[in-house]
Amino acid sequence: MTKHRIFIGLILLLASALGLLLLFGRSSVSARTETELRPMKTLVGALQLTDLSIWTEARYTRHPSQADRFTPFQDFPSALEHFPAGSIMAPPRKDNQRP
Amino acid sequence: MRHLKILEYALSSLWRRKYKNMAIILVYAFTIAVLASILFLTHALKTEASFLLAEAPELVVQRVSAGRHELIPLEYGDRIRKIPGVAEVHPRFWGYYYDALVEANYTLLEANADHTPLEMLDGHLPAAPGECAIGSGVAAVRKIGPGDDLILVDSTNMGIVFEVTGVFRSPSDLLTNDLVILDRADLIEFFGTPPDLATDISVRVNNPKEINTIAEKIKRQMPDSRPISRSEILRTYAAVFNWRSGMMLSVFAAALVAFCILAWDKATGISAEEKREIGILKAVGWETSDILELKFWEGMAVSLTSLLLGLLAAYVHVFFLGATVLTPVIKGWSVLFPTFRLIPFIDPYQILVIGFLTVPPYVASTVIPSWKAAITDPETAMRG
Amino acid sequence: MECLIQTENVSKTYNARRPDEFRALEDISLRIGQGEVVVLKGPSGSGKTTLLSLIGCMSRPTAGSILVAGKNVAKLPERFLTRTRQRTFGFIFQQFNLLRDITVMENVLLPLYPRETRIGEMQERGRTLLVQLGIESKQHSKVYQLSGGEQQRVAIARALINDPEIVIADEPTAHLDSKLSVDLLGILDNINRMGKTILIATHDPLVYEHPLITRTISMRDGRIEGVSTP
Repeated sequence: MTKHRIFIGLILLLASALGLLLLFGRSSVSARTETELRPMKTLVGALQLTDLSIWTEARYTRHPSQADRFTPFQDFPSALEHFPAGSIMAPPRKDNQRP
Repeated sequence: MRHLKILEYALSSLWRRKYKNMAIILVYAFTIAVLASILFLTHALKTEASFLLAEAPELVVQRVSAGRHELIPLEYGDRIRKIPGVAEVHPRFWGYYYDALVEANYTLLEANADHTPLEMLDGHLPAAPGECAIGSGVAAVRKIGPGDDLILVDSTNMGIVFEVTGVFRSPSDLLTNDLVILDRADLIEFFGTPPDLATDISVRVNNPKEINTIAEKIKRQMPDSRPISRSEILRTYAAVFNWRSGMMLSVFAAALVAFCILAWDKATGISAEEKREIGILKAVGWETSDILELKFWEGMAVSLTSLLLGLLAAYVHVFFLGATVLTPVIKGWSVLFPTFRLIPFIDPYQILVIGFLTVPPYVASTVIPSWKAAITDPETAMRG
Repeated sequence: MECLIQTENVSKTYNARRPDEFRALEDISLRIGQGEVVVLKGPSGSGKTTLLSLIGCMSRPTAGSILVAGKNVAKLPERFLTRTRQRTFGFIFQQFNLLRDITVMENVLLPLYPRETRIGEMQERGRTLLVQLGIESKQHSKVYQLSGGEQQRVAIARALINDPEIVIADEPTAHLDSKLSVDLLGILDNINRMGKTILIATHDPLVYEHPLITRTISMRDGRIEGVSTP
């Protein structure tokens, strides 16, 4: 007859665990911004980096912001794009291509 | 009191089919975890990118020839320098290198002129010809460290030896994983770039508000150039992981299909057993609203537990385990893929969205099918 | 004797104005007093169950009025109908209508969940009833683990848990052997002694020939055929 107590307890437990994680995350954001992001930001400035090094398989996935409009299509507009990472990221923005 | 007791009964009722309901909770929590992992991962990546790339060059000028990015004459730099409002112009030298040995692509980059020590680098940037600094991904895949030699094959098919003088620390993987930093002269010689050409040109302006005006001037004076401003870089990264991107679509589609199957199953499949139970409850004095409340609690218990479990799992997965389960999916063909050590940037709005996308539909699909059974006369229960 | 239930020209038609129209009850008028034990007797299809469900506020008559404790329930909206059913009646169904895979105690307490009774008090009442009926040792068993007679007792305990004025039993002996039927009549006798009015639909002579019965109403084809008082 105390199932509802157990249930409410479980929900509260889970919710507070999630809350604690989120709080812990919140507090670690500021600390890690200082210890990790700031030096990385310096790095971006010093090496003049323009992109994140996530997908290294093709030019347009390594440097999406620097990519030509056609590179995802292997330099030919109607060729099928075949790098898997290309299906994960959106194509380069149109306003990236000044007329 | 009444509500708590109906909740109590709902739990007893769920407990009767505990294995089935636990399986539903597990599958449901797993779906939510996948969904939330992707949202957490992309949001954290986006936030980090926007923070880091705020330091990217204000303007990068490429030359476009036959629709492709081409090497840009150094002379363009001199012409840009003369545009009023331009503070600094730096030709940039960089390129890609395919390492056939490990089948990985590296990004080769020139070392910048100033040698301020970098916190994220063990050792130092190449200061003399024959030296290099490498990202930890390159170091790992080639199994080399500071003091070792890195042999790369140049454009004339000659093996060139570089001494590793610095390795980037792994917290900076997201930026440096595949980098090989070389001395400028080494890099030009390695690629065999003609002496009067650079890869592109970075431009700093005096007044950030003028970036667009200057970009237009550059474009007008050199029609084959393509200026990319920092805000465009940032916008690219804001859009890289948007709702339209393939991963989102496929995962959402899968989740949606799974959910529809579940909802359909529930909507059509209110069993004779359940109908009988509702009839009995009505016969012993439960009102229609009590029965709907019972169903509401049943749906709530399952979906709320799943939601919380899923969110917890997603958080631990993305921010403590570096999204290891997702990595093989999003990695694609990248040989050098950084280990995510993401900073837990969380958008509360996203959590709300996940909650709204999962709990109310499930509760609705529990309550609505029993509606019809709940409004029928309890007399049917008398007839057995 | 105070009149507790009064029906006036009650009719019930199923599927009205359709080809499969079926007149289950026609012109039933009867009065049942407080503390009576009344048997409705008749072959199956004679309208016993329909009449019980009308009196028990499970459905509404097509015509006529039904007064329970002076209140006309024929026209009550569903909410009040449910409330009357909840407070005034206890039901013992032919099929027992127990939920097989929850415990005996939970089955007995079923009518009390949507009411304001505290859980502790609910359990106390449930235990008292189970003790009276001699099945308190089974309170944590699942219903499917019980014998037919035990299930019947659970159903009786459930019918009594809200302390009803009127107990309605539909073919209570249909699934019991003679010995268990006699036991059941003993239990019903006890219930009657507690001052409760009992309405039984049956075609089992063992029941309607029992000295406990104050009145027997014979039914056939939806009409009252005769009334006898032993």
